[in-house]
Formats: sequence, C-alpha cells, structure tokens
Amino acid sequence: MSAKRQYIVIDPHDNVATAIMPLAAGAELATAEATITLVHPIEFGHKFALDDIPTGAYVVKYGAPIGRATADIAKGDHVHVHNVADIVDEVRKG
Amino acid sequence: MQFKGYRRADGRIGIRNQVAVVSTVLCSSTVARRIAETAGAVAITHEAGCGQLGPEKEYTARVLQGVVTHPNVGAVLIVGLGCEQIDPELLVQAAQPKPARCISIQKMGGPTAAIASGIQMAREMMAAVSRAERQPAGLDELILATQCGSSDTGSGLASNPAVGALADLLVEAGGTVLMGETAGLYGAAGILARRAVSPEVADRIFEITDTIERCYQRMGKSIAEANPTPGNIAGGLTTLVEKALGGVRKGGTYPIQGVLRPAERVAGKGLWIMDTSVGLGACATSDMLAGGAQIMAYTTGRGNPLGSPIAPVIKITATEETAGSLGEIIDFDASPVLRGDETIAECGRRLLDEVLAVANGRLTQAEKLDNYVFAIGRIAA
Repeated sequence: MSAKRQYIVIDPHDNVATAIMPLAAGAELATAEATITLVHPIEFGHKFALDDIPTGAYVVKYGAPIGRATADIAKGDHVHVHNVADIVDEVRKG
Repeated sequence: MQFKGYRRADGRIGIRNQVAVVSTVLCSSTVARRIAETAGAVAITHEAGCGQLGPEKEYTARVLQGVVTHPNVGAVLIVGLGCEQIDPELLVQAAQPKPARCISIQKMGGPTAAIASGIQMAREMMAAVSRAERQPAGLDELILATQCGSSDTGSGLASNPAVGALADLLVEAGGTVLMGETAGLYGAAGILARRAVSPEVADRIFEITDTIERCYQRMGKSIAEANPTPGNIAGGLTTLVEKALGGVRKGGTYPIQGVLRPAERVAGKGLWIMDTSVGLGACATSDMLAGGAQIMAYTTGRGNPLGSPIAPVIKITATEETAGSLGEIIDFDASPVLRGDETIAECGRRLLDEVLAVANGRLTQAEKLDNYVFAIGRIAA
C-alpha cells in the first residue's frame, strides 16, 4: 500500500493542490506525473503549486481560474494571497 | 437505480407522505402549530401572508402553493385567520385532488374551536394518507436541492465537491439538481455563465448576481469587499472566486439549464440555479423545496441542525470533530476524504446510496429530532 494521500486535487485541470494535513518544507509528494518537493511548510487547507506558474498566469482550482499569479510561482511553492491576485472583476465580465 | 415513493395524481413522486397543516399568515400560525402537534402532522408556519406588496406578495403565494402541491405532502389542512391576503380557498384548489381543506379562525368563532375542528380534520387526513403505498420510481424523477450552512475549510474542499459528485451522478441518471445561494454565486458568475445552455440563461446569472451585489452595497459592504474574510484567508482561501467556486461545486459540473425565481417550480431535468437571494439559509431551503425538490443535501462544517417539515435534509460534514461531537445532527460523514482514505468520486457514490436510502424512507437525523424550520424570506431588491 502506498502512503495515505496528503493533499486533494479537486479537478484534473488544477495546477494547485490543497493540503489535508500540515506538510513540512522539503516533504516529497508523489503526484500522478512527478514528485513534488515542497518549498515551504503548507498548513491544512492551504495550497501548493503542482506546476510552475509564471507571473500573470492563472491559478486553477475546481477546474477554473481562481486568481492570477503576481510573482513567478515554482512547483511546490505555497500559493496564497502573497503571490495571487483575485480576478473577480475579470471573471464577472464572462 | 430505483427507489420507492408515493405516486401523486399529477405524476410526481413523493418520498414522504406528510399531512401538512399550513398557516396562511402569521396570525394563524399558533393555531396551525397546535393542530399539527396534537394530530401528529407537520406544521408549516411563517411570518408572511399579509401586509405584503407586489412581488413579495406573489412570492409568498408561490412558496405556499409549492408547499401544498409538493409531492412529499399527501394531504393539506390550511389554517387561515379570515382577513389575510393569502386566500385559503386558492391553496385548497391548488392542492386538490389530494385531500385538502381549510378552516378560518374568524369563521370558526376563535382559536379554541378552530383547533378542535382542525385536529379532527388532520386526524382524518392522517388516516387517509396512511393508505398510500410506495411505488417504484427512477432516479430521473428525483429533484435534489443543495445548500450549505455553518461552513468551514472542509466544506469547500471535501463535502461540497462530494455533493457535486452526487449531483453529477444524478444528472447523468436523468435527474434534477438545484443550487441557490445567490450571494455565494457572485464571485463565480462569469464561470457559471459560460456553463449556461443559452445566452439568455447566462444573462440571468449576471442579472441575479448583480442585483444581490447592489443589495449588499446598499447595506454598506459589497460582496467583493467582504470576501474572502480574514478567517477564510487564515484557513487557506485566497480569492473570492475560489470561495465562490467552493460553494457552487455542490451543483456539480454539468451545464446550467436555467435560472428560477425563488420557489418557482422547476420544469426540466439537469442542473438549475434558483435565485434564493431573499433570505437566510432556512428561507432558501423552503424556496428550493417549494420549487419541487423532494430531498436536500446540506453540507455543514461546524454543524447546523436545520431540517424541513416537507423534505428530508441530509446533513453532510467533512470535519471529523463535527461528525463526532455533533453526531446527533449529522447524517453523513465525508471526513474520510480529508483523511486521505476516500476520493471525492468515491464519497459521491456513497452519498448516492445515502440519498436512495433516505428516499426509500430511512429517517434523517433532523427528522428523528423533529427539528423542523420553515421560513419565507423578504425580497430586499
């Protein structure tokens, strides 16, 4: 048996995963495609990047864009308000 | 997959067989409650029914009409005062051919006589509905309402996606799913609009979410300013769009067939939005059930006991502590998803089994506790 799943990816299109337990910096997580090494500690409910997300690119969760990267986000980085801007106005234009 | 329910004269299928004692107006609510308590029926009482204007008056009538015609309701006793706006006779006509009668406190000569007569009538109705037998029905005849309350991190992450997986399974089986909570849709309006089956439906999604945002602005704080809250951010939510998507995930991933007014009867299959902007979660619950939903999936992180007199409300939590300490009000434990023991898809299939069991008659915790809430909202727009 493999180790218990430590994070959730809600939709296959997502480029972030959400931790379902506190994860330590340096932790190595096997995903469907690759192994991800966490750059920062990730608390329960917080997100980390499954891919590199360059500045200006969408952060995708629930299969839809939830925000735009305001800095280059590396695979394994913590993804939160310090490196993501809301896109609510853009999303509302349809 | 099939379940067994009560086939009604209009062809719809009920999963409960309630005798509903319905007050037309706040003034008759105490009499209605006393009748229902003594006869073992359910009381449908509220604060509306008089002194209302225009769209609000129509809305109250629509909710009550939805209740008395509801397939989970086998018989109806309307309790009126005698001078209210809502016409008890019209509700009786709407409910027929199911057993339906009305009494008026003024015509009866006061509450004491009205209660005595009403108890007698409600008891006769209890006997009449007891003769109904459950008949086979398909999942395509089921209308599932979705709602959340007292949410936490586990709601957007596990229990709402699990309800979404259930919603997708139902839609694939030809069934119907309702989602509401208009303020919660605001941040995802554009994404939902792209899932609309037509430009008209997309326009309606923008229309109802713009209207609710204007209401919030008039109250002093826009939805976008207020969300995500500092507590949301500490819990890991980054943007309003993310928060909104976590809420709307309850409806699953299929195209949106249309936007219904609050308590409007749903007239098609697939996923629908109901504009339940007019009140609290309890009002939204009444709206969606009045619209014809026979059952509700309600996700709660911290635990909410709300049940409805006209339909089972299945309480789902993904938070292990809530499932344990508030087990009295929780029907379904989705915490295996948050422990990494179950996928969202697996949890959705387990939820479908739960829905079928409850549709077949297994009581929910809210039904065991008689913890029923019914409310009609006020139109703020």
